[in-house]
Amino acid sequence: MLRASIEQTNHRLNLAAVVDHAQPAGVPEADAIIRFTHALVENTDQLPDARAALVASLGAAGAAAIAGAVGNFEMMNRILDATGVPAPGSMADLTERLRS
Amino acid sequence: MTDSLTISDSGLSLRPSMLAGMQREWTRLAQPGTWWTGVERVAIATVARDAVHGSNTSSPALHSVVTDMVARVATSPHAIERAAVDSLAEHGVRLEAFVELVGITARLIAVDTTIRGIGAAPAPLPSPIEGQPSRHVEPRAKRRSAHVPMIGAAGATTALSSVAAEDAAQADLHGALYLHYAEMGDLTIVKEIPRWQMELAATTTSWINHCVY
Repeated sequence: MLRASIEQTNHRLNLAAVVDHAQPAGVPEADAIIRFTHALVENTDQLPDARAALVASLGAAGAAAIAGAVGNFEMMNRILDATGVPAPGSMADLTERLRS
Repeated sequence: MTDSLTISDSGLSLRPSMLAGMQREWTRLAQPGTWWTGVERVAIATVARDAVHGSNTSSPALHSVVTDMVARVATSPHAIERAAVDSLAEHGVRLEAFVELVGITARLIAVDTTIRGIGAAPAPLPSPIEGQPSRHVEPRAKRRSAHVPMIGAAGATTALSSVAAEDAAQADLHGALYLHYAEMGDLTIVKEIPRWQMELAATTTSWINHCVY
C-alpha cells in the first residue's frame, strides 16, 4: 500500500529509511513520520522531540492523524499475528527471517 | 475508573471522528462481551496495559494462563504459536474466548498508543458493567490455516470473525483511527494527511512489530 500510494505522488521515497531510520527518506515529511513512529512504538524518550518535529512538518492535525494510524497498526499487527493469519506467500521468506 | 473516555489536554487534538470511535471502544470495553464479563474484559485491558509497561500482570479476576496470554499478545504477538493457543483449552478457555482476548488487548493498545502519540496521559479505564457474556457460537466459522476459526479466508478483516462483536469492534476502531474498510482501495484519499503518509506510518509500525502481513 505504501509503494502504491507513493506512486500516486511526485515523491521519490527511499524505503530503506523505514528499516534504518538513520537513512534519509528523501522527503522531509517522511523523515519526521518515521522518527515519530519509532519513538511512539518503541516508547523512547525521543518521543517529545519527535512529536514536535512532526507537528512542525505536518501541523497539529496531521501529527494527530499519524498517531491514529500508528495506533491502528499496533492493533492490526497484534490481531494478525496472535490469530495466526498466514502471511501472503510472497512474504514467506521475510516472515521466517523476522521470526528467527 | 470512569464511565467515559477522558483525555488530558496535550495541546494536540484528535479529529472528532477519532475521539468518538475511541469513546465507543471504552463503552464496549466495560460491557459484558461474548465470552468474558465486563469485569474480566476490563481486567484483560488492565493486564495488557501493565504488560506494555513491564509491570506486574497478575489479576484476581483472571487465571494466570489468561494473564500470561494477554501479556504475550500485548508484547510479542509474532511469537505466539498455534500450540500455545490450543493449550488454553486445557484451562477451559475456548478459541473464541482467545479471539475476544486478542481483540480487547489489541484495541486497548491502539487507543493507548494514539493517546500517547498526542502527548496525553493514559486514559483511566472504564468501570465494568455487570452482566453475563452472551456465549454466542458462530456456526459459520471454521478453523483452517490460522490459529482460530474464521468465516471465509483468513485475512485482516476476518481474523476476529468467529466473535461477531469483536469483528465489528475492530472495523469500528479501524475506521475511526485510520480508514474505513470501504476507503482502503482509495490510494489518493486525504484525512488531514495524504494516504502515502498514513501508509508510511503503518509500514514503519509493522516493521518494528515484525508483522509482515
